[in-house]
Amino acid sequence: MKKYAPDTLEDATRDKLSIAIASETAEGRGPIWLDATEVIDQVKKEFPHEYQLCKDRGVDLAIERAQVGPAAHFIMGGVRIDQDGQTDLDGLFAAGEVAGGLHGGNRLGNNALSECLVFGARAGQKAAAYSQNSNNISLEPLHLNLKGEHRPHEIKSEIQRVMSDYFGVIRTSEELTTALSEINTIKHKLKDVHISSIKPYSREIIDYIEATHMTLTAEAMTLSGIHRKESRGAHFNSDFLEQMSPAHHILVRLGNNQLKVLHKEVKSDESSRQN
Amino acid sequence: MNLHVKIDRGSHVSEYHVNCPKVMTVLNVLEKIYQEHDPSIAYRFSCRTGLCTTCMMMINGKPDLSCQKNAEAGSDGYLTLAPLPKGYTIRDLVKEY
Ligand SMILES: Cc1cc2nc3c(=O)[nH]c(=O)nc-3n(C[C@H](O)[C@H](O)[C@H](O)COP(=O)(O)OP(=O)(O)OC[C@H]3O[C@@H](n4cnc5c(N)ncnc54)[C@H](O)[C@@H]3O)c2cc1C
Ligand code: FES
Repeated sequence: MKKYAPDTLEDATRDKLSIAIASETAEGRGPIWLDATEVIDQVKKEFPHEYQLCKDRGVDLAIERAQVGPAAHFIMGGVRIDQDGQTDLDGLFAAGEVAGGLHGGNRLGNNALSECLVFGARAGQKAAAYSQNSNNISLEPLHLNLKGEHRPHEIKSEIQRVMSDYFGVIRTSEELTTALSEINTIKHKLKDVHISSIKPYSREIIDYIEATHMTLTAEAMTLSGIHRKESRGAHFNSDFLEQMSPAHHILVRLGNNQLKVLHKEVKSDESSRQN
Repeated sequence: MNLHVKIDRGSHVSEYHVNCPKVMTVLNVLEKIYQEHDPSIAYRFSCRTGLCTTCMMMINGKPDLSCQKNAEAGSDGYLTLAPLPKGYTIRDLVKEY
């Protein structure tokens, strides 16, 4: 890690660590190994589950190295909320990982759970107060043609493939554009799904709902990636290595079945939302 | 390897012959059954790393985590899966929490 984070080495933040591993692998120096033998007592004490998990899979970190690589771990973007978890949609509250903007370009370890506790409590209190003076909101039932061609779990796998091939740790502008065009193809498949079981807890229905949400999320992420012409935190575009100044949020809004992108400058005091 | 799987679905037992690698978790065998043999099978999982217990079920007569347990046949030659015995079973291997 001397080359990538000379001061912190392996203690670098996870965006830097992931970019380092992905760069070494891309330049043909992989695979990358984790050697924890020197700190094994600390690993056993602080990560007993992970130590045992590796051991059960045949890798004893006390005496041998494990091959490692970055994986999707957390989504930094999400639904825009105010300080009470309220969204732009009246009566819709969000908190935790589904909400966005708190962590900037890279989340530091353990801040996800504090975010859940703080904003979960705030959103819960606000939503409870809101519910005292509001009527029930009914959701549109799902209307589906069940006799189409594509199985929902296959659509999910396709989104996963597109996002790991073209929206991985190291990105290029060309790959981001390819991702967007493949997501558009996938969107059409969602209108032509084959579902054979609609019994309670049907995996096919759950997979269909997840595929729909994954496609919309993937589209919003890819569009934001294309519009962010810089590298910042976990967004590393090898065509734009520098950071732009001033920093800005990229907001994506859905209206009339179309995603619209807006840029908004990051204010030093973001405790309240202006628009 | 060719694995013979029996799943207790309350009103009946379903049997499947699954072609899978030598080392595969029970959950991955279930995923294969859902994708390649029977899309109606109901089961639950979440973390896939042995932390949340969502995927707990009876495996060859003993309660275990399907995402962690390697699939192997019991003494009768079958990998036998059933919902946990206590509490209400919603469908197949899915329990009410
Ligand atoms: C391997 C791993 C390790 C981590 N370690 C740490 C750590 O050490 N410290 C830390 O701070 N953070 C850590 N994180 C991040 C942190 O765990 C998560 O950000 C946090 O748990 C998110 O909680 P949440 O309640 O916001 O969302 P989730 O826990 O993801 O809950 C969302 C729930 O919504 C349900 N759901 C989804 N769609 C629908 C739908 N359409 N209808 C109904 N229900 C739905 C899901 O089934 C799920 O139960 C880790 C994450 C991972 C993956
Ligand atoms: S899925 Fe969480 S313990 Fe198995």
